[in-house]
Amino acid sequence: MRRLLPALALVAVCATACGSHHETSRGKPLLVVVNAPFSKTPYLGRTIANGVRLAVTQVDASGLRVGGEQYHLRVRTMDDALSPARAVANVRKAVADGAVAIVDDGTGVDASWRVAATRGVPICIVFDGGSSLVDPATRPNVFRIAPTDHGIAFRLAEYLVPKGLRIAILHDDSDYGQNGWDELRKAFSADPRSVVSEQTVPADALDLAPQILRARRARATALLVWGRPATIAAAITAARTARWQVPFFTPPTGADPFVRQQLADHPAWVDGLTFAAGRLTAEVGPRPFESFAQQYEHSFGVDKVGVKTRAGAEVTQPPETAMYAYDFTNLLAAALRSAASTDPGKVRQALEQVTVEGANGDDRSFNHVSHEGVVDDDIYFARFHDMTYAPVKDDPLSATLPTLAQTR
Amino acid sequence: MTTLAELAGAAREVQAAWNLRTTVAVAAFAVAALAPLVFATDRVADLATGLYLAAAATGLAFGVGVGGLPSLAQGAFVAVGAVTGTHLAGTSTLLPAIAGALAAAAAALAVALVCVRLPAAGFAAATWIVAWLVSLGLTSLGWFLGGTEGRVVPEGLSPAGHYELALALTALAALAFASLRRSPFGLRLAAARDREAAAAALGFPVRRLRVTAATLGALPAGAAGALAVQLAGIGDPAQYGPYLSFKLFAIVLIGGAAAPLGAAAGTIVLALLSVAADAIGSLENVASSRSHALLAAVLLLAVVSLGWNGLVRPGRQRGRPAAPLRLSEPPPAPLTAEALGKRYGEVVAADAVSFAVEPGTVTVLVGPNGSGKTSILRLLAGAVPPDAGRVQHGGVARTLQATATFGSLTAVEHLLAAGAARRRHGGLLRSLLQTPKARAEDAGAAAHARAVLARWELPADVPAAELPVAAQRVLMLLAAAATGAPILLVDEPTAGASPREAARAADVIRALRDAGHGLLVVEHNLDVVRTIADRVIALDAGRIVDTSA
Repeated sequence: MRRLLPALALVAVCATACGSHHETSRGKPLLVVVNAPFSKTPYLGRTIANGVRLAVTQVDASGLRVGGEQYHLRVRTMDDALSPARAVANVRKAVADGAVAIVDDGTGVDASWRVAATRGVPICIVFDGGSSLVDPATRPNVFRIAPTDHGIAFRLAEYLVPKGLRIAILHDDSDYGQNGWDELRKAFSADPRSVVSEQTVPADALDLAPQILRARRARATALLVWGRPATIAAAITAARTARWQVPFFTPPTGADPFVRQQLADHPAWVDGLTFAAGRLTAEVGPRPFESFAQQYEHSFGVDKVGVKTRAGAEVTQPPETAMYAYDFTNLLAAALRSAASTDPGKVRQALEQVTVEGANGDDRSFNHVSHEGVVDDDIYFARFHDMTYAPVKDDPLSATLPTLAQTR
Repeated sequence: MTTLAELAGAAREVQAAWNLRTTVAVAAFAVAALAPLVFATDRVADLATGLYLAAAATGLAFGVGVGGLPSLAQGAFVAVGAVTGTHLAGTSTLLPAIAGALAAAAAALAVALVCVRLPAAGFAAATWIVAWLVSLGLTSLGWFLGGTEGRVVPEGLSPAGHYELALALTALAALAFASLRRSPFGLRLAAARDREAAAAALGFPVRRLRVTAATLGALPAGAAGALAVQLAGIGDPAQYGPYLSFKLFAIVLIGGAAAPLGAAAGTIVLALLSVAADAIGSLENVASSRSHALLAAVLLLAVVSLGWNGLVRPGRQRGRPAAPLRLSEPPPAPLTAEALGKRYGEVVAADAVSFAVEPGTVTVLVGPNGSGKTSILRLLAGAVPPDAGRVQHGGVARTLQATATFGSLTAVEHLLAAGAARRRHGGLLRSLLQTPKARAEDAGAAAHARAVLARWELPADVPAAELPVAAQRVLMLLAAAATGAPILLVDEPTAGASPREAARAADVIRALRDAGHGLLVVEHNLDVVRTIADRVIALDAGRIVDTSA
């Protein structure tokens, strides 16, 4: 036993030394939690987490000094499985574990913001555009860097109504679909005659033939489908199977790789699909975003869609959602430095003061009256052809935007 | 003063019944109550969620373990509680819980009324469909829980408060389980689970017992659902899919369905499994939610295929010393059959059969196989309706031709279950609350049952399945007599018995006759017939061909 004690003491000293070396080289850890649907919509979860990780790597590389002390950011992912209750439980755990911020897809934020607010922990939504989610007056700790449903719906109405189309709206019964319909109803209220049919469909429905038939009988000349990627794919399949060449319009979920994967056997069915999304390129041109995309690919590889163009080129997906998560993480680092404190409440206040250059070259910031990081005017339209998309030419904003490379 | 004396008496009883198992259970709950002082808020919230699950599983365990009702809809009853709790949230903490419990019980009552006649496999399948229907309803109809978006509920108790509440609910559910299991209701329910036909022959209201058990089992589920939704802060339909029902069923089978704390033990096992699943999930980069379901399914498969009875087995209740209590006897009444007729197609089972059985006499039916003896017993007992004629009696109990005891019940429990209908203070509520009168009556009835068993040299505390066949037949005779029915219909009490065993059965029959019972016995053994019969009726092809005194 007498021989064993010095040996144990030596081990303990070594362990302590190793630990302290680890801390002095990188600083104290600060936890950033990514709460996203990794099991239900893996692409979304993965891209959000990758965006955060890329920013964290860069922040840590440049050093994060907060109030005279060195820190490093640590990322933890939690799967909300698109379940609000699980999302709330995740946020509770993140808060208890001392998270300095939570990057969230938006699931369950209606309840989870309250849990996070107990310690002032900021939540940043990087996907869900529901109008009621963000309100600086009542939910001071909720921020968003993603196009809002409100903005997308109004831009869709602004784009479609002048074309004189008879629009049939299909939305699924997910929270995303329901929120979208709420906003579309407001957006089209100025010209309600342009909407000839409105239907709610189950989010997990595999066959939408009856709903498509009803839309066709309403003599619709365009289909606006607001829902999860699976709903959009099912709607396109039902229409094209019935040989109905109606044009499709969707929110950003239309660009989700899942839609093209589902329709991979019928690439022509994807042609003409038009979606609205936040623009990826800035007024300064595509170079900043392309630079970000290169860094992203360098770290995580190319996000392959899993389909090919007619010429046989592999189709890739620009890291849009990752960009929003990346931008928020950089804003968070700036807020930490500005607050000179790791207290979540102070960081939250500092988030309203700081500005960073976003991945696409635009300025990203919040203020005390707006916690939205993407303005509604930044919504553009793109149309698919040969499994890749390009900005449309019949919309003033979109027409000015370049086409991003999407093949390898 | 009376109340104080009763409390002191109750305390003495608790002290007398205290054993190692009780010490462990109480210590575990006491230690568990301190968890909020040790763990962080999120962990306390997780533990509270687990305890709500344990409470719901305890309700299910009562139905499965005592009632033999393999319900796969307990998750749906949790959901009913959650919906109620969501809509009443903000009023108080307990009101939604009570309303949730009542709503879940009402839903379970409706399901049980429809499904309880089904065999076990059919009951499981039907309740599984109910679980799916409720899940689909919650997802597609936003009114319930806000659709896939969920419905936010106002803030209420802290996670620590919920934890203590969940612990109390689980403890209450386990105590209620323990009280009801050994109550007259629980014993008759267990008897019906073991052998439905024998229970029905003794006059147990099998269907009503099962419907009641299913309804009671949903009470903690509804309360747990209503409280858990307050803890989560949001009502989320995704939480109430069929997997929840499967998970609760797995918890019950793993922990032990027949023990009050089995569900709590099963919940702990499943929680440990979740930790393992998280670890495996992180290693294999598989979503932990998927590995949870996978591991739970594998464990359940192992439990079912190995025929394991669960982690916790029920303990045996020790008898409390008390003066034997002879339960009230109904007034002696004869049985009369007038022109009874029954046909099964071309076969005549009874043809204008008329006779009477007087109290304090033994009438023996004899005749060749197929002459209609057992059919007439069934007609007299009301098990099948006659085509013609009528039967009048002041109460009958029947023993079956086959040796048909309730295998898991001890001999004394047989007599207690049989005598349940004669109890004055053995109702459901009194048993649940263990009122002084109920406890005194329990003890007296048990003492009387032990005295009866001792007279016939039957071991009181041995499960009936472990008794020799002849002893089982005697036990069923005594159980039939314990129902208090003035007329006993006894079908071949000495079939397969040795001469010594047959003589013993004859002794019992004569003793029952001397006690005032009227007995109608179907018997082939003519030596026995000679020793017991006051009157012999000979049957052939459903007709009385001879009567002799």
